[in-house]
Amino acid sequence: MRLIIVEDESAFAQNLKKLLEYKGFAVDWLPSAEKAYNRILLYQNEYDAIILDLAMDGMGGMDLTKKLRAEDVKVPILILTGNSETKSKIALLNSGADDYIVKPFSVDELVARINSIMRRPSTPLPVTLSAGTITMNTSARSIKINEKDVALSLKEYALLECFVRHPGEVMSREQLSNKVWDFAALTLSNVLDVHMVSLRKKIASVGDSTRFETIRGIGYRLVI
Amino acid sequence: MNTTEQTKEECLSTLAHELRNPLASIMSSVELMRAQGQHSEEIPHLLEVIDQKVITMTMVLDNFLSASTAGRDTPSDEHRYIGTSFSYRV
Repeated sequence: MRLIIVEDESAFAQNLKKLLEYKGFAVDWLPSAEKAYNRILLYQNEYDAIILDLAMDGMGGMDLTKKLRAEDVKVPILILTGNSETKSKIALLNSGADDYIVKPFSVDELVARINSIMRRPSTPLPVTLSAGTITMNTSARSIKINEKDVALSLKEYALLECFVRHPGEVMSREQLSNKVWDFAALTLSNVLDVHMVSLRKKIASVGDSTRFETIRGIGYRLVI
Repeated sequence: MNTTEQTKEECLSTLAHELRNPLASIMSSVELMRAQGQHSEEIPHLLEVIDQKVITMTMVLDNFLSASTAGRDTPSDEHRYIGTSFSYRV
């Protein structure tokens, strides 16, 4: 799943980006709300959640949230705040944010909150995703295929989650790259193909008939 | 709530806010060091981040205590301690 962090404190933002990448997210970071506003409007469909700092130089997280919601951006928004006062939290939620987390926080709590807001878009998504013989628990980040546990790398897991969320649909290379890698990654290389080969092997290793069809010149499709 | 209490509450709220931001950087640096292990090449950088943020927090506290003791003849014991600590670090 792909996230964008908007935070003007560089050291903190870079730490957060790496910690979230270790947890399997693709993460973009922008240091100002003004830049983020333009990018999110252009690429909102590529992001699964937006993480904003409340207090930034220039436009802050609450104003950015209001502007994005005014443009009908529906991507879940979580705000990082240094203010633990109740009235501040209420104002954040009323501005259109889906949740907030008070600094300092552990990355595990942040991940739990990200997963929580991603489970409640306009059509509620369950913790468990299923397609054919594949069952994914998005909270525990565990996978069972034919009732057998399968260990996948973070990127393989993220790829499989894209397919399981869209079974039978053709997923373009661009869609998959955008969901699994950040914008600094070399999406024109064969990184995607290498991960797909590995994913296919691991699924085949548990004797499952699920397969990924290669759609020449476009991408891949999960065939159940 | 009277004006004095309201001002006091606002000051404490601002102080908490000013301390939470550097604390977040410190906490994330520690988490990253734990995640990367003791041989990570990033440890010197992360220690530098922690050091910088501790200095920032000390300055915030120092300024806060200076403001709270303004008008008094002598600083409190706490103020002397923080001031000494900050001077030593710088």
